[in-house]
Amino acid sequence: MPTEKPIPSTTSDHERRYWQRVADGEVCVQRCHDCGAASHPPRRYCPDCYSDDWEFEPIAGTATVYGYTHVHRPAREFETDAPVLSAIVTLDEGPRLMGRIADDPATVEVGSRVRLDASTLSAENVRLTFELLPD
Amino acid sequence: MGAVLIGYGETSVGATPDSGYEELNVEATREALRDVGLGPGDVDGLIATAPFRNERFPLPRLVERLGLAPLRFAELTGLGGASHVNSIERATTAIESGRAETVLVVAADALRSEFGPSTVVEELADAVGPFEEPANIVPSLYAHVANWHLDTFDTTRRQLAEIAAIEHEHASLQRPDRVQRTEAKSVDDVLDSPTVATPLTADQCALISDGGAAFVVTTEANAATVDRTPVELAGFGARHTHDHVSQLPSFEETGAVEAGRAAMNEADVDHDEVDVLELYDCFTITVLRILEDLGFCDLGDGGELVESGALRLDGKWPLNTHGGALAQAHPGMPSGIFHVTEAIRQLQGRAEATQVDDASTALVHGNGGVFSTQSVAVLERGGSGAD
Repeated sequence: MPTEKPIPSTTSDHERRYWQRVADGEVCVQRCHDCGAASHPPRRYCPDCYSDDWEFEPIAGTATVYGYTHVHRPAREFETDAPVLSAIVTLDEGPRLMGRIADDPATVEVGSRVRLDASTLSAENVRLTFELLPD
Repeated sequence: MGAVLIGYGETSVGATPDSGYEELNVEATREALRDVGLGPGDVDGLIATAPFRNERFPLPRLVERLGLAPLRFAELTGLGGASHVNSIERATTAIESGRAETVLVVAADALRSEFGPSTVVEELADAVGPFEEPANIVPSLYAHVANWHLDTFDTTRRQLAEIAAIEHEHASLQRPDRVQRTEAKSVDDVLDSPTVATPLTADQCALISDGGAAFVVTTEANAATVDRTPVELAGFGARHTHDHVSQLPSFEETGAVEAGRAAMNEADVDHDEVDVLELYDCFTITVLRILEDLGFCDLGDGGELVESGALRLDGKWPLNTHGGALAQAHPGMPSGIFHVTEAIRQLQGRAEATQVDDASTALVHGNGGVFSTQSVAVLERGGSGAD
């Protein structure tokens, strides 16, 4: 069982709302109503047009691996998880984000298809976990 | 009035338990001013770097402790490893606009003795931020790009590791007090060091060091009275693109593409005219990608360039002739200043065992964050100083 990461403490309303959606199993990107841009990580103002008229849009959960590494020397809190397979994935919606991949690490490469495993998400764990999809 | 770099000073590096942030900054300043025969009263501008520890007002503290007051111009750097290449531009611009006459750029810290490697790694891991996979530390953020390179092109782990071997070789040729790593290492040695985050092994990650350096920038008129070969900033470029590595617009193009193009165009220098390469090297992958983005080879061909021998001391583009952050020293934020002082050293013909024959043009590069900030300077040897 990998180390859990609870909702981080934050004083900002949009971050609180973001983490609540993640905890509910609904990972989102931000979609601007004014310019239509999708972005991540969440922020109060759209980075393309500074509008604050936007909403969180749930992602489909499918993505393509862009970069990855087997972290043998992780941050102290996650030492017992080593090696951790961390990946930067390009969501089918466009934005990129980072998470861990739970499957057999040896088979992952740039271009591998992955899918978010929303069943791992809760208020006690907002670490994003992806599973490898068969070719 | 044109501005030129006239000299530099460096502290001893590695572990300096008797010298903290303040003392190392004084030592670097003392050595730099002695190098050019100036005293504190001759300096009217200062660019300094804050310590790793949280401190609200480090600049006034240094102004007072360095004995430089009163100053007309003072500022702190804020671009991580890109800071000090940027400082060359800041200092020359301040002088050329008449805001200062002689600017000291100094950066030093006691990263190793005040904190130690594991504390530094943990503290920097906080910089990963809440929206990225929390097990990451800084080396693993870069490692994502390294595996992308290995998978996308024909790059091998050995080619990546050879960058560290080349730099250890260059460090081994230095006076022992100038480097933290005094022994050369083979590619196998580098690959056999513990894996931090695939494909990066420990020897492919920056050291954790104490130490620092300083350099002096002044008017051409002042330089003519100093017995040192002046070094000119012939071209400069910078690009700032992102914070999180996952938000780097494309792994295929960092800000170094445009920063390098701007610097080389302004200097009217092409790649064949570059005699020495001082590239920021927090990790081997940083060097590999920057070589490509600066146009020393095409995207994807960095591994072949490393393997070709071109980056060794007798090659076409000797790389990090001091040993870089991988083998010479990496005192945290001040690390990039050694790439600048080494370039001055080469262009002034003072590089001892690692002197590149007739070095007249050096390209110096700085990288901050995770490929977030790129700054590039082309430095050229000017006419001789006092005749």
